[in-house]
Amino acid sequence: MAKVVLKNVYKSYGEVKAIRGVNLSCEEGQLLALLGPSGAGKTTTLKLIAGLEKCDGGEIFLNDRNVNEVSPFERNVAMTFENYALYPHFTVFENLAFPLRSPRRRHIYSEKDVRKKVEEIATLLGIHQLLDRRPTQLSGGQRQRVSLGRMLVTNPDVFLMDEPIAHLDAKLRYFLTGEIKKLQKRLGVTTIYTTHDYMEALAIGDRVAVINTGKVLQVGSPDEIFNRPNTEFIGKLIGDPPMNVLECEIVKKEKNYFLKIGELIHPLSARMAEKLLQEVKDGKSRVGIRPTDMQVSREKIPGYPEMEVYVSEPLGDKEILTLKKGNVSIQAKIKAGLESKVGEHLWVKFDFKRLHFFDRETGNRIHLDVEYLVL
Amino acid sequence: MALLKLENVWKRYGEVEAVKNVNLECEQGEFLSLLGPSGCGKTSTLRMIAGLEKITSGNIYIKGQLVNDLQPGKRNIAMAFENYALYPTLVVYENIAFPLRAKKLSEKEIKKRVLWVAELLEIEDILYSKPKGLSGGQQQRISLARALVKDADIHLMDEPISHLDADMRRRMRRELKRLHQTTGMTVVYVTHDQLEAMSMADRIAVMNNGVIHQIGTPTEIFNHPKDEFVAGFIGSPPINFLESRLRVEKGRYAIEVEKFLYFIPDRLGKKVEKASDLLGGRVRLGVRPGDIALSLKKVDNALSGKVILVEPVGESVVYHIRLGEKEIIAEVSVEEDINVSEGEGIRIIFNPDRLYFFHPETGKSLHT
Repeated sequence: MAKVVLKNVYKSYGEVKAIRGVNLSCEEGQLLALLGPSGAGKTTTLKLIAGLEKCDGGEIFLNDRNVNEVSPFERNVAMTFENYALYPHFTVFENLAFPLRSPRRRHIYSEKDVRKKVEEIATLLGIHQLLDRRPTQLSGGQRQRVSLGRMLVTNPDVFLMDEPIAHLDAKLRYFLTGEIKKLQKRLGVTTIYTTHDYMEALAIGDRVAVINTGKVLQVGSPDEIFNRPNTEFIGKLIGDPPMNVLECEIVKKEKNYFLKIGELIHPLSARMAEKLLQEVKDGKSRVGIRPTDMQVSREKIPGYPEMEVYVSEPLGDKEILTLKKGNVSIQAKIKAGLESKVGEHLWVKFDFKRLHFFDRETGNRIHLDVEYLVL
Repeated sequence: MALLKLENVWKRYGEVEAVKNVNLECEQGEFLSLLGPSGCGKTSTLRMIAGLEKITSGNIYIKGQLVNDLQPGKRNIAMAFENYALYPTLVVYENIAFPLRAKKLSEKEIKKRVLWVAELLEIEDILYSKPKGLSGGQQQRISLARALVKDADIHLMDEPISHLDADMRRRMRRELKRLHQTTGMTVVYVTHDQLEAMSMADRIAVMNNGVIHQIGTPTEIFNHPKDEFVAGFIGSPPINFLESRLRVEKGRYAIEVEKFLYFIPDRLGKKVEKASDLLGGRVRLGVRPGDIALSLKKVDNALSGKVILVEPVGESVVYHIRLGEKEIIAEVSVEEDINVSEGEGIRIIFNPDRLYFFHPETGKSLHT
């Protein structure tokens, strides 16, 4: 088991700056999820930790030891790639035995040791009855276990998993992330796991690091990442549908404050408005509203805005509404049952306590630290 | 009479029965989705409607006319495929305009339609590029655009947005549904993605192994699945299945699940009783993760389990719970969450109005 630390790490491929000053740490036994869109630098980060790529600048530590010049073999980390990359012409046994039969390890493990080790791992993962099968004869879940087993046979200190369940059936996801997390907890192996899927990252990570264009934007617990995104980018990366982020302005009419989003005028508590005005002098910023953080009603909510249903999508126990007012379009996710129709008018009330504000230019979160908001 | 009607339609490829006795109707202005896993026969069905595959037996009618032997070009349909089939030598504008030129529309009308659909599908900026070099998602939208500009009795679409990234797919879903609802076009839409079918379709036909399992509105399909396959295919996280036994205990109906006794509403018990009598009480219980509540306190009529994994996924929390020998999934919205940790014992309460019972061998619902 080991602690992994990256200090100000850089990596370029020719003109392309893949990693630009990454600082990251993963405690011993922890599972860190690296979340970002494709091209963010997730895979490069893993390859640098594994030693498959050399960094141009910065330092990488495994257990407080600088490993910049240490060979991949001696780092004792194991890496899996997207969709398992099992050898199709090998049996499960041969796939599991492969790392032990590699030129670097061949002299360490006799064939007897190999058999013993493979059987031990196969039993641990509950795939010992599949040892003679080929990958094509396995289910998605079984394939995943073989892939995990291939990492485990060498007793690595660190697991690096690169989008291990991308492109698999969405329904399997719940079982596969669950399996990985349970196994990881049981073995207590330090693990870094990349994904472009926010649900996967939040579900599996003890901590989540959001990465984009080669930089780490925020590191935190799943709860922090969801509830206090540091930037507009993170706000929009997370959620299905993603957070609505819109240009807004604080306006005051007589004694009351309002949030003006285009033609949409929504009441705002004085405390929040005044706090916001302290931070943004002209009162202009961008507001983030999660689709679940609002009330939508067919009955009039006095003082609150009315919007038109652009389209409504039922999803079983939920319903997603796209609502418009002038040029403003927002999405709401509510419990099923409203069954609204295109063109219908509905009243909308945002949950104040859960509004996010971002700077118009930088996209950074405007921290309001308002705990109790009274209208 | 329905605009489109399939009557006892079969498709065999040699020994393989791809479509087995499909009966289906689609009304004028309806958005009908054929939903199922790969290999379920949905694409073969669509291709037979289009006339791209010959029917092995059965009849297909469009506007009351038998079209079994009518060429695709004469069926007045428009098609968008998963694989784009674009003309490589033509720019995007010309690709989209192609079916309109074939219909000899005026240049002005063609331009109007192309620009309209380009805006709708967010491809205005690539109208003068050639398909080669464009991303898969862009090519797929061009293919969809070409189908949408055409006036047709039926628009047939086979996974038309499957290659788009998640965000664009969400937008296109919205725009397609809106377009359908505001124009009244008739759509038959093939997909393996339950979200697409649920969110857009007026009715869904759920297929597996060449057979239609159920046809109904999204709400019907979700709330009243006719069999285990439909129940398991729809919903995310997926429904939990538990082997159980129906009994009468102190004059009330109850089920025995993983050695726990759980009382169920009389009305439901009565419905299931007759079927379960023949099975010695054995029934398969289905309960959706969203229909499970958790409690740290002792509650009447609850099961006991242990939390083995907590997955906070933002707006809700997914719990993996050990229940006897089984593992089940519960999903609790953040507002209703009770913050249970891994390893803690917990009481499990099923929503009594949302329990499903299936035949343990045939998988058929015992109460719909």
